[in-house]
Amino acid sequence: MIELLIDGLKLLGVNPGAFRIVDYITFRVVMAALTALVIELVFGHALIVRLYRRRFRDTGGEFSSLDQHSKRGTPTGGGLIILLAVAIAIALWGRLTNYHLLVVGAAFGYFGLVGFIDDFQKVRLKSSLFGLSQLAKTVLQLAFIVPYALWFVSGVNILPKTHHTQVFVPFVKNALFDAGPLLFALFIVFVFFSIVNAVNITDGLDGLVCGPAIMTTLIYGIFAYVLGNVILSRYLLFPSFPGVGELAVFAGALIGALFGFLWYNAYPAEVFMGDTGSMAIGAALATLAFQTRQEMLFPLVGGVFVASIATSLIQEKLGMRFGRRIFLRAPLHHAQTYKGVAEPKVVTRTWIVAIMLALLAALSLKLR
Amino acid sequence: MTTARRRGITKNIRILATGGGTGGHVYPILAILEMLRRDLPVGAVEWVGSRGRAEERIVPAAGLPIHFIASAPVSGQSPLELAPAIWRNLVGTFQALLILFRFRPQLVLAAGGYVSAPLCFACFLARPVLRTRLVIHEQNVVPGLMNQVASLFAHTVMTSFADTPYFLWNTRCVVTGYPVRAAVTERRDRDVAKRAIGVADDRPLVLVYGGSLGSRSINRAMAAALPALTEARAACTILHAAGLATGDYDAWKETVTIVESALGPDALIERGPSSFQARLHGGLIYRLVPYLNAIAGDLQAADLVVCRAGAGTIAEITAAGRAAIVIPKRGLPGDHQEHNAIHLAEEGAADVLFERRGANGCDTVEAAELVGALLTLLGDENARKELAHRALAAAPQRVSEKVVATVRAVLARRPADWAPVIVEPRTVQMQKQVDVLVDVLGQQSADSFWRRLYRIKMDEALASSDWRQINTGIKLAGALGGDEDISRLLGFTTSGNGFMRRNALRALAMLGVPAAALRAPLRQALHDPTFEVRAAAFEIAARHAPALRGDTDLVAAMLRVASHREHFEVRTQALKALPLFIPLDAYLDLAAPFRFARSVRFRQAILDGLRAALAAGCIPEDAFDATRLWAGEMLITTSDFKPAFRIRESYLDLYRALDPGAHDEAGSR
Repeated sequence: MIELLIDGLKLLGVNPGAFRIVDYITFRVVMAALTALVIELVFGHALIVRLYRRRFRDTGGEFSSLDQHSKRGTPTGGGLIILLAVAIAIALWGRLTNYHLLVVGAAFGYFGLVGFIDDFQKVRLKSSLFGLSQLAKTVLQLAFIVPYALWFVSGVNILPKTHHTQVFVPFVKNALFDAGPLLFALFIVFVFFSIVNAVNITDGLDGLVCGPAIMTTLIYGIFAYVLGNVILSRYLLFPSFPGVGELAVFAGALIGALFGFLWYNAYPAEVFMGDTGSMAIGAALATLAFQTRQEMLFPLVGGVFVASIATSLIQEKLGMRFGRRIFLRAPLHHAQTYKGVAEPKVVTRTWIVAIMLALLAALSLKLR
Repeated sequence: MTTARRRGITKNIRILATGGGTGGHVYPILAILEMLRRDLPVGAVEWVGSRGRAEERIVPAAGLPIHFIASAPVSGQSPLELAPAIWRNLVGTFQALLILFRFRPQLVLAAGGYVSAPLCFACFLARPVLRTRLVIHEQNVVPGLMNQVASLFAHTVMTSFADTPYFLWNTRCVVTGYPVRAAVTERRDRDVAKRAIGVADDRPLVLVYGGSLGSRSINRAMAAALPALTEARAACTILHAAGLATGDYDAWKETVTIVESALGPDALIERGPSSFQARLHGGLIYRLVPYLNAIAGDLQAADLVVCRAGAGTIAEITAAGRAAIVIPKRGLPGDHQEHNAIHLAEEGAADVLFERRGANGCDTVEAAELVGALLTLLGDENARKELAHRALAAAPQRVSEKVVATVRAVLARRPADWAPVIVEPRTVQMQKQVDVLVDVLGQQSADSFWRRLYRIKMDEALASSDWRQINTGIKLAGALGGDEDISRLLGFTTSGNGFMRRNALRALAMLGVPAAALRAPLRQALHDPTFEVRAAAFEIAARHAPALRGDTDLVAAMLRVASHREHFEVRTQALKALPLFIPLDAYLDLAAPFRFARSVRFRQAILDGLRAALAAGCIPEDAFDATRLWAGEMLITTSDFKPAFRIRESYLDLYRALDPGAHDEAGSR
């Protein structure tokens, strides 16, 4: 929006002068991050109180005793705060005509909505007899993912034709192979769905999702900037996708919003992000990954998420089938708390792992 | 009248009522209308319903004009039928809007159910223009999906049960109770009532009915019970309503057939197109009809009622103060009929017979049980009086007051007496986690109704083929099982998967099986391939330490297992249990390195184990100092912790001080 104002001034013949700095993506990235952060710091508490008073509280299913040792009753649905902050930051600092930004924004908003319906159902519905079943949730998610996949492999996608269906792997310069539209579309559906649910499952301890999410968004933001910049991408031997650089602004806004959320969500949490936040973040990460064609980087940079969902799935599917526990507890953070590691410590240790993985992923920028 | 004017109700209130599908959605609203007419200036009242459903029959008979709109049930439909159903509801909404604008009521009273949904939605749509207030009455404990959505459009929802606000999406609920029509509650002399319906007044009248569509299990059980009743020379009149025919169950025809075959050739039968009467030996008169048109009169005349445990039925029989044998329908969501029935039975207000799942998937109630219950109550007039008395006490009280107060508040745009605390009902907790259920059941007396109900479920669970069901059955057996289940549980300790073996062990321990019987299973469990079983073995052995200490083989096995490289969970339990079995020096040697273990659970286990050993006298006094020195080396930093949130503590403290009558549950408005 600021851009539009500047352009408007230019049209009117006013010399923007120093305001031309707005054209620079790096400036807008930082401003978007700061805007999102400041919005959350200023309005966060008011929104938390609103959620609390509307009985949007995490009960863990039970509200039967409010003893002083439990964290039950903490408001959930804090993802709304994240959604709001990012939306405002992007509206102000993003180039809204940019097509990549619109795609990522749409994914972010839609999954936020689906997550909100799920949260509402969990919080107000409380009865396990009705509500958004697993099937309904999956259908709603696929209702976005499948069209996205089809559109991605079709000709309408703005990315260069050469990059529609090929599989790239980090640390390797050229495409591994061309998967063909059908196979790649299935691949997109599978990966997208997994990423969204992986982030959802990782949201289990105070501040656990924020750390890896920030790291992952940072790396993808860097990649977006590099791939959108003709000079840098040529230097680092990457293909260049014009326009992708705008995604760095989104990444900046998201990082700012996540830090703002962490302000309240750190142990002991004042608010949980709920499915609203975790699904929206998952969708944003997945779309970022695909739009920058770095989806195969996700198991590395988002390794924490992948580990969470892998342990959960294996424990549930294989464990239930064979009737024995495969892991001590699943997902991974529950195993650690069960073994007696304090909750804030598990979160900090997860941050350490996430930072290390991000550094490794950043290595793949240069090492090819 | 003056009160009404002061509150702002200056002219006659026009009410539009809606609800239908079955009688259960019509009669409560008629009852509410009665109550409102008594205390408020009610003007014109009209009804909105659907053709071909119960309201078409009942509402005109009650003297109210009825409009018909389109509606269709949405939940439980296949996707193919969903689109036309939604279309019908949209058409109905449009028709309802027209009616709203023409009639312009001040109040819309809805009973829930798909028939009332279009009008509720229309009310919501027309709110900016018409400002009609919508009040919904919810009859069930757990509202259906359609009702949940409709509740969001309402200003206030009146609920029949105290647990309902927990489930309802709309948080503005008033617990009013189930409204019962005056025709049911008015006191009439029983003999007069009997004569009014054409029944002999010299013997007790047993009223048997299973709802307007009949109940297969009640009909069949009744038919099967007749020969036994005849033999016992039970002198009574039985008025049995079989139910109207539906698509897949022609209650009348089938019941007539099985009754005839049960009675045999030497019964005096008078048959008509829709009536059937038999005079049996010993003074038993059996009258079978398809449907009871004026149930109020029949209830007034009855000495004993056999019926289902639905919300409406129970409200009516308690309000009328009748002795009853209730047979809840099994397998409904949340087991709500069974819970209603147990609720009554626990207050001594009714007798309960539970259904079982039959061999061919059909639910049955044992005819022998029914006969027994009937004969007991027929023979003992005092018992019947006591049941009736308690039933009256258990009936919802002051329903009329609460309903009128709520409607007054709604019309005057004031807040009503909304339920302030939303607490998870015990029944939900019990159903969510089997372990909670097992705890609750274990604390109950031996012949409580809950235990009876869950014993049936336990047998069914154990007979299932899904290992998860069997697992649940095993856990229940720990609380409910008797001696006959012990051998079955012993069997499970060797068969089944790891969870089942562990739970079987635990269940045996919970049943209080003597330690001697546990020796062999425990020894086996120590070498089990699954770690949970080994850990449970240590845990249970520790509980029986005094008796098992002498078993050198067992102790040697425990020591052997604990000395090897073992799973985290097993090691923890072993560290806790071993001090009770092996000499102190051996234990201190074994546990020494674990004092500095990375995981706090090991260190905690050592401390717990030594404490238990101290309490059991396994640590000789002269070893106290050495033990203290030994334990003093332990690493007690780096652990997890239990947070104490001061504000919650203070809040609870203040809350309890201000309301000493409340239990632990706390919430806020």
